[in-house]
Amino acid sequence: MTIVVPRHDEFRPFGSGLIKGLLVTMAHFVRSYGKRNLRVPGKEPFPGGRFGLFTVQYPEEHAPIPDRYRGLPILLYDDATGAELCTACMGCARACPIGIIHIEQGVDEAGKKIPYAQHFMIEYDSCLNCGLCAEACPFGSIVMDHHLETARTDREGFKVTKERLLRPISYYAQIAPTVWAEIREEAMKRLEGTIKRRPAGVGIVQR
Amino acid sequence: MELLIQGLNRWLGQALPNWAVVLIGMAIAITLIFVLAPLIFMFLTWLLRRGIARFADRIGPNRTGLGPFNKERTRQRWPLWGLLQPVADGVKMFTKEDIIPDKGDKVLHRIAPIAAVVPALMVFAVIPFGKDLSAVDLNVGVVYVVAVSSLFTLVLLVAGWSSNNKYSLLGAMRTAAQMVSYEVPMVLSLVVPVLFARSLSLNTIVSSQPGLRWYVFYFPLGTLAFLTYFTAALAEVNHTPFDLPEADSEIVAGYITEYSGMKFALFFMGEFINQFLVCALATVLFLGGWQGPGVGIGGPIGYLLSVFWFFVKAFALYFLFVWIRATWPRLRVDQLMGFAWKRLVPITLGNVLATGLAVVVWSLLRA
Amino acid sequence: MSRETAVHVPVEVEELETEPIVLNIGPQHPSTHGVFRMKVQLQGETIVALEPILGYLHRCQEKLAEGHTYLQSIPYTDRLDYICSMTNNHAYVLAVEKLAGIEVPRRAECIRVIMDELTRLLNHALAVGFLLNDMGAWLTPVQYGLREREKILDLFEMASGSRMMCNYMRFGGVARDLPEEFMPLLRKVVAEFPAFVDEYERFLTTNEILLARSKYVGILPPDKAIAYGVTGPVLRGSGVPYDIRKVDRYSLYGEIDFDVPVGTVGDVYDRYLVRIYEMRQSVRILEQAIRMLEDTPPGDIQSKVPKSLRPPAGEAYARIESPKGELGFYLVSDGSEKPYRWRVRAPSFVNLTPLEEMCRGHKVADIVLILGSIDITMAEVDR
Repeated sequence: MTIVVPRHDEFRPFGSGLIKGLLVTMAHFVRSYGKRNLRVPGKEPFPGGRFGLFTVQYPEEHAPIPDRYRGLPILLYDDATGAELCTACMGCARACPIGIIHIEQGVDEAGKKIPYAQHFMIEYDSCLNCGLCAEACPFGSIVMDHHLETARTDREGFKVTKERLLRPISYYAQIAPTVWAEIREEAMKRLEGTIKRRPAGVGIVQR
Repeated sequence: MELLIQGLNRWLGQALPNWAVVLIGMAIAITLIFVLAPLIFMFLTWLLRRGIARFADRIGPNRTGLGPFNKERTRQRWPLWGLLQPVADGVKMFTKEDIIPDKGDKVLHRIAPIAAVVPALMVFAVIPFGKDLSAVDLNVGVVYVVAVSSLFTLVLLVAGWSSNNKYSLLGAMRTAAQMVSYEVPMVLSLVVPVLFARSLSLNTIVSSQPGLRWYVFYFPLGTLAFLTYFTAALAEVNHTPFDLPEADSEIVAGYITEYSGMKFALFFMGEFINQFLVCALATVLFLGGWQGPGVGIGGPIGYLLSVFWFFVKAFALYFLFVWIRATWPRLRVDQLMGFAWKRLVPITLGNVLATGLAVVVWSLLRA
Repeated sequence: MSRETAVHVPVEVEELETEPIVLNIGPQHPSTHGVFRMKVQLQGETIVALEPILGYLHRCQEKLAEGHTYLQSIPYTDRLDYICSMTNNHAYVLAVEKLAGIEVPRRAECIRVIMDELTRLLNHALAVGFLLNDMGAWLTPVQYGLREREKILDLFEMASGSRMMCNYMRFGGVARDLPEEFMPLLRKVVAEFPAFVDEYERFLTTNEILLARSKYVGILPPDKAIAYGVTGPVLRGSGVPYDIRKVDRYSLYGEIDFDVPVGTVGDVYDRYLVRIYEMRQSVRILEQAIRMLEDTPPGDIQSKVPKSLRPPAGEAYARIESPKGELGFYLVSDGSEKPYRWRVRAPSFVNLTPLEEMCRGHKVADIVLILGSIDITMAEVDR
């Protein structure tokens, strides 16, 4: 149950520990000129073992990104019809811990609310990448992107509006096939209902 | 040096008086040293960074070099293994703000970095880089080297004091204590090859180790002297495991905490050149200097080969420095001093005594 | 202790009387593991007094959580101790489950145990690496630790979508079931890890310099350790076999067979060794947890929890053995969907309290070593 760690008080010739350490690092030095222990996209995430260079040369090489990777949130629209999946249900805005999702629901001529987000803005610079918005979305509309290089020189550019948030479903199905497969059926079924409830021509992405 | 002046004499002897020829010869030698020392410094920093990286399964700097500058330049071939990294470092250092502490001693603060490089360059004058290739052949070369290289301690003390920073002061105090202690075993280890060669001239010491009769192979006395010299030298140049004066995890950067930009680089240069010099001195005194296969060949080939062997040995020793740096942790102040005075000094003293006896007995036997 | 109340060390030789100097180590210092400041009084290089000054990284997390729903606070727990976000998640969801009386499916418990132990592996690999870094062994040992951590972070990223800010656990389960490619890689990591530990031991454990630096340095006797409320490897290094996994038997730890390594002297070396041996034990736990996981039906990872969780009014304290010690969450609910009080018992903070006790009489170089052996994360200390 309890083991007492040995303190290595026994006699050893002086310097034996130092030399053992030197041999360990030398083995790494020599083997670092062998096969690279590198995580390459497309292959398994890491080849394993303790030897070989394991650094990824970033701008040229990219470490693999798993399907579930949580980048920044984006919105989806249907490829075929161009219909946005979002219905402005405010689920994501309520789920967001810091409240950076701002939605304004669209209204028709009569002033009645329709399931369509007139304005949709996310403050990317404050995003926690926690993914709670994507989890809360019952329509599969808001999902987490895999794009990493988001640096900008202007602050205003981080207030991302609908035009820059929208991506086609095919894009997301390509970067995260397994995650999309989980939510696809539900999302498509709900999209059909959403389109029926919207006036014609509303919530269609202009391409 | 004599060779150079002879050559110049043959070439310019008719046109110029003798003193002018000697002066020109000196100028050439000094220029060569001034070019060689920074080049060695740059190469050493590159070797250190690349070496350490490989020991830790990393690549090290590989972005600077003369490679094809297309978009995918590093995908297949790393351009020149980042050999130009020191140049990039130098450019960076020049662009840094030069900070002088308000409450510090401004004059000393400015002088210290310059003074750090001078003793290191002065030692270059007597190192035999190849067959007959030393700027000055002093007959007391070993004494000169020891005397001049210990000036570095003083400079670090000045740097630490003038910065008026507590970390700098602690670092400087550690340096002073450490270098004073380790000077003793280092000099005592140097006595052993001097006794073997019966000369204080570095050139004579090298030429008395022909073939493989290097003093490091004079078992056990020469070997022991080499080991003690190497250990003391590690401490003398503030190298791991004795890098306390600049222990970054304890006292930030020791005496160079308040230095920035090119002044910082000059301290580094002084330090790296000192590291190379202790390797060079070990090569000269224990590893046969420029001796190696093919140095007997006449003409320029023999000279070039001798230079080649000298640098191969010196850089191999420096690689050992890098290896140690990548592996071992650092000692503590009291342990460091204890190690010097309780272990190294008695061992080296005994070694000198035994060597003296052995040399006397050997000469008596021969006589 | 401020400068005015300086402890004046009597010096034997009267004419050599010197005043202690006050040295500020931090908040910006290479080895304070974040923004931590120590006001140290030195006599030569020997420490006379040490005053830790905290708060440079205070982010008001406990108050912030009072304005959030219970679910929204999970991402914030990631940022407490950013090295071990999985265990932070676990401690928090455990507290909420206790508060709201939520059951957890067995598969989810298995996944939680696996994630906890993977976190322990990566934290200890880093802790011993950085300890050696503080000791002056340039970057090699920590680099080897980082390499192993990388593999575990890959696993985390695969399961949760993020490498460090995992946000993986939910009330009554976990966010998602493990992906298909997770298990083979997990087995590979678990199979390869002992070789790394063995190499690390060969590399450093009997290194004469490490022995000289760490033995009998920063001794914390067991009675003092208990008095200060120290937990985790620091307490076990002092020889007290107190492990919350054994004491509370939360999650599945009651069914898992593992040993608790303890030290004898309570110095830096013992803490280093305890971490090394805990890595071996974690591998043992992982092997058993993987077998348990295979017996559970896939997909059963989440029990029924209402979408807007309103726990009944009351309070709950839940604790787990995080890699750094006892991590506890104390929650008070007033029946609304936001907690009335949200309090963290951070192991890093409590373990930091005996720092002066351990440092006094040692050299400057030992401060960073002792600090490294406590293994703190400033984000967790200041919160």
